[in-house]
Amino acid sequence: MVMNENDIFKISLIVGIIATLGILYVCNSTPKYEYGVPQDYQIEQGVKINFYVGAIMWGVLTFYGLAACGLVFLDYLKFRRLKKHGGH
Amino acid sequence: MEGTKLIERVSLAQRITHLLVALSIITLFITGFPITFSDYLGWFAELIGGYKVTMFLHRVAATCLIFATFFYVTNYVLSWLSGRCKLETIIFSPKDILDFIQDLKYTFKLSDELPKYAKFNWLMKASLSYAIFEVFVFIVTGLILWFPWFFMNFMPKSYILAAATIHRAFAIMALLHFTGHVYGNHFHPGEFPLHRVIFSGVLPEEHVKEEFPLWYEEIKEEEGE
Repeated sequence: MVMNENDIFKISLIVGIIATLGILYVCNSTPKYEYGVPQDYQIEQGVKINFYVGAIMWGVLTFYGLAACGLVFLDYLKFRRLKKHGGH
Repeated sequence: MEGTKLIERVSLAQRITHLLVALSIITLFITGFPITFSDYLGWFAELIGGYKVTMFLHRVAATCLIFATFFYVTNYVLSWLSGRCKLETIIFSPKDILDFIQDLKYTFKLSDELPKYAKFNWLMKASLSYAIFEVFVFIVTGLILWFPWFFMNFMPKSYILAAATIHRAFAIMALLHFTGHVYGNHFHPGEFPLHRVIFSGVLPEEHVKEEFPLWYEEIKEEEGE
């Protein structure tokens, strides 16, 4: 398939607009409150699920934070060495 | 730098996507955190014009982000299908793991040799892969929170609260990612005050030769064909 950059740009633009509007239109198709407000037991269950999801997310967040700080520190060490050797 | 040969690194479509994503992400941070942490940042939402305006701006920025994602993915897939770019330049490969190990060896003075990078190094690939995953999670959880009545057709009501928690946690991770990205590309001592490639789209030949030797060799081979 051979297409020039201009064609690819135009097709991407059209796909982007149609997909975005399409998603919003479909998601908006169900009227509010059609399925009723959550019952007490559903809220209770939701809070319970949320507790476990929250615990997992805290774990992920801690790992991510440490990994990010570690990478920045490693980058600093590498830059210091590069500078000594007159590299980029 | 007159007389220096410039090599295109970032296409116009990629630069537009980057600008759109950057603007929408910044807006999402500015409007999202006052909504999430209203006890501490509620004053900021009031400053913007109240919660109604803040929520509206958050959704406008989210729509921009959804558009940018579809635009980028379509553009990349079509460019790949028409042979304008290679998929392996952005997808993780065993070489990237070896490059990471070699980078560590160099950093800790166990080796004097730097890894030879192709167009994107392991950190750039990891950052891009994570950004795509992050945006995917944001879009899915954000749509669930925006249109809970629609998603209740497919999922139990009790999951909605969990979607909010995931959305919030990813927002904090995205802020860390954003800070690291801005530091690494603009405030890093080697790049400060600004890495212009994302605005101009080009890099000087010498820079490419030094930092991305494998990509440079590839360009030279293509030119020789």
